[in-house]
Amino acid sequence: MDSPLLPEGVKRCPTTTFFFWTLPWLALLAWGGLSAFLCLWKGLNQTNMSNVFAFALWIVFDLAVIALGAGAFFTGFLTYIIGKGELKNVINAAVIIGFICYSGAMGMLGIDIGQPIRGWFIFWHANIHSMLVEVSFCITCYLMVLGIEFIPLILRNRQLDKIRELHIFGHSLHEIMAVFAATGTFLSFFHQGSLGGMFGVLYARPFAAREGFYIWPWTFFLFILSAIAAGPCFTILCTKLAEKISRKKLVPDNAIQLLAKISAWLLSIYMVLKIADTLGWIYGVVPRAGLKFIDFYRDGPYGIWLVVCEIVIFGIIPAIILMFPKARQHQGWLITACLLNCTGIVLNRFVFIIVTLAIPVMPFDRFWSYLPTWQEWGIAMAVIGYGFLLFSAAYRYLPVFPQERELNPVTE
Amino acid sequence: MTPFSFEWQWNVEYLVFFGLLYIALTIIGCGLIYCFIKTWLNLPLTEEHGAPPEISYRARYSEY
Amino acid sequence: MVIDLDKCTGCGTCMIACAAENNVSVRPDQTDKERTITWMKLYKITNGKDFPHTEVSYFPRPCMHCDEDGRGHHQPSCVSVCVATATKIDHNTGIVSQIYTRCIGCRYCQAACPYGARYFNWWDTYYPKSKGLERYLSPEISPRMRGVVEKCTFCHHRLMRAKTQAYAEDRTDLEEHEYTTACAEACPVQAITFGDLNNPEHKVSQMIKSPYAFRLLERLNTKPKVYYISTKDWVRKLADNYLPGEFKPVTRATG
Repeated sequence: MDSPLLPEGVKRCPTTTFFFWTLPWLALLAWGGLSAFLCLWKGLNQTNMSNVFAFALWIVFDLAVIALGAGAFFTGFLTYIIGKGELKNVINAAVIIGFICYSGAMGMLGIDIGQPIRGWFIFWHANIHSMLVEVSFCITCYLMVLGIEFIPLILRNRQLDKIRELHIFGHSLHEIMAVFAATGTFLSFFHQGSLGGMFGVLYARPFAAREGFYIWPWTFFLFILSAIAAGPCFTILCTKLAEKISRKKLVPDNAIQLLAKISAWLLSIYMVLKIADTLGWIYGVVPRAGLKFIDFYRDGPYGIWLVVCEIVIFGIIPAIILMFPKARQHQGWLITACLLNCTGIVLNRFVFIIVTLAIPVMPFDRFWSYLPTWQEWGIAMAVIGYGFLLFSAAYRYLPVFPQERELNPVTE
Repeated sequence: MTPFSFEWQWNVEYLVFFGLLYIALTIIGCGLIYCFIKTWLNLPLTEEHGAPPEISYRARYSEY
Repeated sequence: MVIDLDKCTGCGTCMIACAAENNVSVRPDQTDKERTITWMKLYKITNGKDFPHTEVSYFPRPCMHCDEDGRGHHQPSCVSVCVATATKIDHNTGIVSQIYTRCIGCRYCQAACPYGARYFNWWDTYYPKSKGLERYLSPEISPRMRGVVEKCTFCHHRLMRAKTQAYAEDRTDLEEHEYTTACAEACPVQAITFGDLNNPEHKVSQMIKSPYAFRLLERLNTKPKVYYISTKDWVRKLADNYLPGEFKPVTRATG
């Protein structure tokens, strides 16, 4: 039914099948829409956030998707600036993933702040000493860049490509894509870092506070490193999922292997620095505040297992797996390692947000616990539904994977 | 946000922060304007030849 | 501000006076202590020992109006992290103020404050009428809308009132008694003393010289302006974190 919109020379499922595929994601979006309406109409009391948990599920989700979406800028940097030609086969997918992650995060943030209509105050009355201002500016600009990187792909839709103006415009954009990729890299470097800086500068909260270099706490650099270590893995996972669902090979192995190898090295360097930072914190910041490392892990469910998980199970182990070419080439090990890596980064964000707030600073204050409400889950799930929908639509109607035809010859 | 707003101070922190921001926005803006102008200039060319021209960068991205 | 914990009886009048003075919004059910707004909050602390050696003390905690952020920068943590410059410290008075109409409700300041002194309006403002509660509303304080952060202001409106009075009487200096906070004024045992820490004639600047004076979480270097006095070692020990052997008890000052 929608065959004029499909790319040339590739097979796509029937329209009705695609329609049924979109239904669960539309349901998630509907759940999210209802949640957003309730939060905007009745206020943030619809959530389980409190004066203790000022940041909660949404902020964890925001930071997690932004870290995972770092594959977009990093792949763009490797493709257009460094010139790794094999990554051209995966850059479109990475850009779409990045666009989904950043636009979803912006949407979530619009609901998260108490006065969404005043959101523009971040820009107009900016406090340049605040890390969150740095984050907001860079994310907004980077979302613009991602949109610009996405447009040429959209304009290559079979029907849109026929329009001369759009055809030439798309190609003109692609001609100077390196400029946008470079700007995107610069912006991403800063906002990934500032997201880490946000927690490192909480000097009055010994759990999160860190030493640093000039105005940048060590978490600034660690967050950048962890994002570029996990981003490519997330791109690999999304690509593999797309291949599984579409039941065809979409990306040649050399692109995947290159991403996995780069991820391996970055993750290894990150783990070394992360362990060093943790030790520096345990023997520096923590005793200066009159505390012992174990004091932070006494209450509630947040015990030492968090540290073991983050550093060993979801950090060192995937780094080791990805370092071995034999393991990287084995589908099962590759996907396991990527999953562990991405989970580790999400866990890292979770620890910095939720555990920081749960642990009381005043000695006579108590530990508080937190579980999200269905409205909070609704907004978070809506981002996932939006992601599946947008990626599915892009895969169906746009030539996302340049090697798709070669890897899947259509027999007439 | 701008040098004309109330909070603006002429010190190095403001200059560096907003300087970098404006540079980034300028690069993005100029890039877009360049593409618009390039498209505008290339349009009459296609009409003359009656077919999409051999765009040089096409050869570089032969995958699509 | 100096709060003498040996005098504090835990009656809670300071909490009520603060809420009444500052048009603090309430809810029909205030039992959810994670979301109620209590600019002045009374904590109950105990020495942890069993009967008959149990000792209890009460710890009123207003906003500390910190001077520094813990790393030496001359503004409190909440001010340096605010995205929209909606909170500022006035270095003349030392008061950390909040601009409600500019706050976008991102709650980063709440995450930064170690004392839990900042409160977010999770609901729309509610002053139950027909129960007489609207009678305590003060025209000097702007009520807050939902989605913004609020906190103790050291009754800044009373400072404005005193300054206006002084201006009308053609003088610039304020007497010690002219500007005091609602909680200090209401405390039945006068456990709370308010004044200018920089003025050597004010009682507070003399009280902080006592060896029993301390501040909450002093080691974090936030330089709070609220001092506490307690002759009890265990109370002072609970005001900060100490590694074994670090806490130095104050020997009873004689004379």
